[in-house]
Amino acid sequence: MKNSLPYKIVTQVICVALLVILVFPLYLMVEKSLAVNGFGNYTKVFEYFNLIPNVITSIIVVGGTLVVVALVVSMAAYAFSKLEFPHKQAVYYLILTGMMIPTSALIFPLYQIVRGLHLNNTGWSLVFPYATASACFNLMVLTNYYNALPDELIDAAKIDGANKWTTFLQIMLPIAKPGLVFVLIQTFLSAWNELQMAIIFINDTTKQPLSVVPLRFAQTTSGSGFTINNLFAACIICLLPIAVFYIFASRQLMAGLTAGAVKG
Amino acid sequence: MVSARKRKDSFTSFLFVLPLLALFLVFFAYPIIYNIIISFYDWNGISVEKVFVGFANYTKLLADPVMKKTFWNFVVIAIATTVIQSALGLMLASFFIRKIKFSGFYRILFYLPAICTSTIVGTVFSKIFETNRGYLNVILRALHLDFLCQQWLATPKTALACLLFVNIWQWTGYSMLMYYTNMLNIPQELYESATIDGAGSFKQFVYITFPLLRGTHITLIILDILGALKFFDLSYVLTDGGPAHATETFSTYIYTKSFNTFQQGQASTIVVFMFLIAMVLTVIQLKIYYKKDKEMN
Repeated sequence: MKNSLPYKIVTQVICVALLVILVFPLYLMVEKSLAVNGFGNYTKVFEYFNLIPNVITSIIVVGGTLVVVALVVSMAAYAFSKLEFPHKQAVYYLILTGMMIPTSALIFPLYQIVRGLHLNNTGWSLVFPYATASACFNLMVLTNYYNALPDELIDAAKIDGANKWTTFLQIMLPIAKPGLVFVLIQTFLSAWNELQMAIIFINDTTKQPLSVVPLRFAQTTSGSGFTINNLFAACIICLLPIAVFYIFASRQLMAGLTAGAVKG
Repeated sequence: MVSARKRKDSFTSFLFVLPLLALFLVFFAYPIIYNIIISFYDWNGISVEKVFVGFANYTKLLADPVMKKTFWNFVVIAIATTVIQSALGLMLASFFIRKIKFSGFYRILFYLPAICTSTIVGTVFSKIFETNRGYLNVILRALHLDFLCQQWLATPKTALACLLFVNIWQWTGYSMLMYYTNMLNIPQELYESATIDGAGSFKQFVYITFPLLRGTHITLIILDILGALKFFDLSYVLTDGGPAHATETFSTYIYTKSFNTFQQGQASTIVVFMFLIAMVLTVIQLKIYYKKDKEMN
């Protein structure tokens, strides 16, 4: 359908206006991070803070979560889609309720466990709670993906004498890879951005994930020579990994969403 | 013999699900049960001794004015984000589905805030809303609109509005993307035959696009209400629940009770309260999915 000229003008005006509102805070951050001292603002951040422990925590948290989610959710989604066992439907819906459980409901009891195991102030404390949340949230996405794959492949594999595990690992999992990639992108974003559990399980600010560190910067500004320009530079340093990831993942993320991975 | 093999067969199938089920039971089910039990005790969360108090925590919280405020904040956040975010998202998606110029560019940029970490979003907006040298007031003064200047985050009336603004700022791109992707799945023939019947684009939107997106509307409404229920990050980073509990949410209140005032019994009671709201939403959502599954079979 062709768009009329007034429609074109009105839509562009609205989009540009919204773009200004949406991008202005981000622009402000970049602009201020370079003001006065240019890239000197950035080098000064590293003089004030040693961010390496934070980076290590982030790698453990995100990497660990991705591994656990990949293992657990790909197997479970396959079974819910293609295999049979008693009470399958009931177990499926039970696990789906996990999507709705607020983090606040988990923190105190899990913190007791984490402290009991002396895992507090390490990235490992966050891996399993994050993985569980992400697996529950993405189970339906991947199950729908498997549902769309034909059963004939499984039957053919069965005739060739393959057992369930080899059928899963060598035939179904490779075909389901795009679905799994989409799930892992979502997992990366949510594991990186989680705040509430991270600040409690890791209360030593020198060890918190990179995504939580800006809180520490904000507290540093008052008094010391750490200026607002340094603060914004520090924020950008913490934003950089996820921004780079988004640049590489955005096309697959959009493709996954467009393919109807999230059923509305 | 046959049934023994069959049993073994369904057992191996069950093994595929077992790891996820185990994670669910340990990390989700156990904490919920733990909180339900603790909600009947008076306990500071540290000492060995707990005092059983029956429903005392429940009656205390039902009479607590802060709890009342928290509940209304939840209602306001839920309604405001659902309505504004969905409306903006739907409008933008309808532009992009008609392939206006720069659609792809807008789509990626509008989604950008959604990937930004809330601590960073919070830090930037705290500098924008700051009273003396905050960028918003500076801009207003430069435009000689001094009378509009506010202590944005320090005034109860404006603080919640600011938080809502930032929340909508961050998540409109997500609503837009959900609508857009689901619009792509509407069969084009419907529009073609409507055009032949002489229906204009506005009519087509009202009679075809909007009703066919019913599933998306419901999904987004549930996600937004759930987001309002869980609301924590922005309140914690920008206002810490204040001023005078104006931006207190269930999550910030639970945080305070658990880790600042050490009233774990009450914290657990708020968890139960929150959990009940979440379960009502879940039942509605699962009913919808279940109905859809049935239709598909």
